[in-house]
Formats: sequence, structure tokens, C-alpha cells
Amino acid sequence: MHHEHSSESAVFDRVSLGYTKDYLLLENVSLSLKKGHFYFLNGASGAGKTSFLKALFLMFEPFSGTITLFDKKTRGLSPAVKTAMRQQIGIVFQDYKLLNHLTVVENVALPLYIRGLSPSKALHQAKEILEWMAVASACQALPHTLSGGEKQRVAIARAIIGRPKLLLADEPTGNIDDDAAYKITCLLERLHKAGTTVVMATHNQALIDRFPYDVLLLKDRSILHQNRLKDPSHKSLAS
Amino acid sequence: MKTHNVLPLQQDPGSSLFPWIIAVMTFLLLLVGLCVKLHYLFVEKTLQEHAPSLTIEVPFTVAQKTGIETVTLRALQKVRSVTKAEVVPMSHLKKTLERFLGETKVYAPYPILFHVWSNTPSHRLVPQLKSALGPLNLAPHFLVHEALPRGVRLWNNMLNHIFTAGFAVLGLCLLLFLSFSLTTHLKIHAPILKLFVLIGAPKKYIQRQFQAQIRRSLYKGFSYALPACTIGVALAFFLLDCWGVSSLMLSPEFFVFFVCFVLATLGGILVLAAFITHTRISHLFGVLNTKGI
Repeated sequence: MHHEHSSESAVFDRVSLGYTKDYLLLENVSLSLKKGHFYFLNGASGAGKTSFLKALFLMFEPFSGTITLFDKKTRGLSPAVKTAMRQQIGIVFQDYKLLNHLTVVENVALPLYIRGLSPSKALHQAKEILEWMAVASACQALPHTLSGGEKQRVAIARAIIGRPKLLLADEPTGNIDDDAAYKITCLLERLHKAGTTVVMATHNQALIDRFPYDVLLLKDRSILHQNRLKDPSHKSLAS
Repeated sequence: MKTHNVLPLQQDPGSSLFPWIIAVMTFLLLLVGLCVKLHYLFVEKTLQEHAPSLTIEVPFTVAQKTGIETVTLRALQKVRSVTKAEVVPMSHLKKTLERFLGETKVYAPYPILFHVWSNTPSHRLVPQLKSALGPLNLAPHFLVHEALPRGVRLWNNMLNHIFTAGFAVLGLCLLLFLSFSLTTHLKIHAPILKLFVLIGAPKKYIQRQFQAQIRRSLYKGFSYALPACTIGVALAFFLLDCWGVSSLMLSPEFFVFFVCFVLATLGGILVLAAFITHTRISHLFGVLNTKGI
């Protein structure tokens, strides 16, 4: 039997999300995230950016509608399938979630340990990624000794070491200065150019304006998809 | 599959105490086991030495018949379940009676007493003896001596229940401690475990982290317990051997020794527990002082 793979990483079909049915963050949202694309997820605080990302990394089930991820519907998945799907997703948390009892290189190697790779191979790959991310000098340091920008790079390194198909970054530039934020976004852009679908949540409009990528704007419980490559009004911003 | 430990379980407050608790539990289990062994030795020996026996009294009216003593003894020895039968010597009988009645009041003629040993319970033995002695028209009187074996069996049953309860309580304590320890670990490391799940850790990977820690603690605990157990067993056997198990089994000295051994062991455990607590408290105060700075 021939399986035809779609060109979408994720599809939302009339999805309603929220903590209670009476207080929905998103209502009847339909959209698709194309493979290999870069998306900014923009919206005011409390608009539902984190909930949208949580739904994508299977932490949150929608009240209604269906989410299709890597051509599989996410509702009612078994824990084993959920685990397998999560291994294809990289997550960068707003608060980094680095383990303070492990060194930087061990933190980055964590997803590989989990996949059963030997410690020596996992550490070798983690060092290579850290070199690529320009934080190799902090390999043996403990996370609490790093600056915000360095922590974010380490968190991104941990998210991408498993070569995910989809990278979700929840406000990765929220706690760092503008220059470091730009550098981090450039790093995510490089990953996107290598073929990874990237969704980056941010409320930094100035930062969004420096890049020519699509914006998913969360407003009034719906998502407005701004395709800026086709829309000439954004060309000046992108340049 | 070899697990690379990434959960800091060894840094948890309970982790350093866990092997010591295992060690103490192991030592207590050994102590209970030793008590069970000694108890069975004691019961076995008592029952052997005090097998069911009875005394048959042939009234003096019949005892005057010539040769009745030999005929009765032969009839008793012919009964299959009788392991031993003997006539109580007249001198012994006289002495016993004189002790109670006084020399002047002891009167002749005397009854003849036969002492009979058997492995068969008395309720089966007595009818067999009655039918064996029936043709001789002796009108015998049977006196069954089974108070001691019955008491020993009762004591044995009671102790069996106590030992079983002891094992059950120790096992339950160990299970409770294990579950408490696991719950504490889970609560302390909940954020890390959540992160593991989000980055795609299967359930088995997380379970392996805990299994490895429990295995390590058990090994440590057994290695701590090993020298104490070896010394305890060696000491017990040395003392029992010196004093002679067989001759002292029923003597008060044996019980004195046994009680002393148990008290000394419990004292040792208390001292050990106090030492651990003291070290931990000192450590805690050290930490508090450092925090104050």
C-alpha cells in the first residue's frame, strides 16, 4: 500500500483550546503548518501562545476539533505512540528547564541518553552541537553559572540534538537583550534552512519585523495567518 | 540495558539512610531466623526426651499373685506401639511413698507400677494396652503423663504464630519504607520527570532510573549487614557450642544466655541507630550553619 505523505507538519481543524470550556483561548481554529517553514507565533500575553504550543507537543488535548501531527491524529493516542511522536519534536522552554545537577554537555546529551545511545557517543554528539552553537567553552560548566543567552543556546542545542522534524520555541528571547535575541533567532533560522519546521513564540514585534517569515497572530480566540513573503507590505520590514 | 543515571536520586535526603535501614532489617531477619532455629532445636529435643508415657498401676490385691510382674511386662512389650516398658523398682516406690507419708505409715503390700513409653498418642495407646492386659484380669489403673509435651506443643504453636507475625511485620515495614521512599523521590523530582516525558522519555526509561537506585541501595545495605550478620552468627554458634547445646537446652542457663544475646543484639542496634541519627543531626546542623553564613 502506498502512503502519500502530506506537505504539512501539523494541521488544526476547527480546534477549540482552553483550560475550561467556559474560558476558551482558541475557538474553531483551522490552519496548517507547512513542512520546513518558519513561523512566528505572536500575540499579547495570555492570548494562548503557550497553550497552542502545548497542544502541538501533546500536553494539551483540544475540547473540540482535531489536530493532525506528522499525518497522525493526536486524539486518543497510546502513551507509546505519544512518546515516539515527542521524539520527533524539539522544545525550547521559556524558562530553559536545564537540569542544574548535570553539566551543560550532559544536559544537551539528555535526549540521546533517553533514546538509548551510549554515554560516550551521546556526549561526543553533544559537544559537536555545542561547538556549532558557539558555546563549546561552557561544556563542563553547570547551567546556573551561564548567562541568559548561553542558557538559551544550550536549551536550543538540547532541543535539536535529536534532529527533530518540528522545533517549538516558547519565547526563547523573552529573558535576553535585543542583540542576543537577534542572534538566537538567526540560529533558529539556520535550523529552518536545514529543513526543520520552526514555530517560535514571541511578543517582540521589532524582532519579527527583522525576518521575512510567516506570522501566526493570536487575537480574540482566533489565529490570523500573515503570509509575509506574498504580502508586499512586509517587504520593507524584511529587508 | 545499561542505564546512564541522570536523576539525582542519590542526593535525596533519604537515599543515604536507605542502605542502613536495609542493613538493620537484614540483621533483624537473621536474628528472627536464629531464634526460629533455636526454638525448633529446643522443641525437638523436649519432645524427644518427653515422648508420651504412662504409668500402669496394678492394685496390690492382684500384685500378690506369683509371677504377675513378668507376665504383665511381657504382655506390655508385645503391644506394637510400645517403644519401651519397665517395672518401677520397689525400692523407688517405697522411697517415693515414704517421702509423702512418713516411714512409719508406709504399708505393705505395695501395688506394682509399670512405666510405658510410646510414640502413639495416649488416646490410642490406652485402649490397645487395655485389650492386651484384659486376659490377665489385672484391673489396672492408667496414669497418662502428657502435660509437658502438650505444653511444649502449645508453646511451639504460639511461637510459630509470633515468628510468622514478626516476619510479616518486617516485610511490611520494608515494603512501606520502599513505597514511602519511592513516593518521596517522585515528588522531589516531579519537574525533572515531567521534562523527561516532554522530551520523549519512555516510561521504561524512567522506571530504570529508580530500579537502578533501589538495586544500588540494596547492594549497599547487604554489604553493610554482612559483617554484622557474620559476627552475630559466629558469636551465637561459638557460645552455644562452648556451653553445649544438648545439655543446656532445657536448663535455666540456656534461657539466661538466650535473653542476654537478644538484649545485647537489640542494644547494638539501638547504639547503631543512635550513631546514625547523631551523624545526620550533626550534618543537618552543619548545613544550617552554612546557610546562616
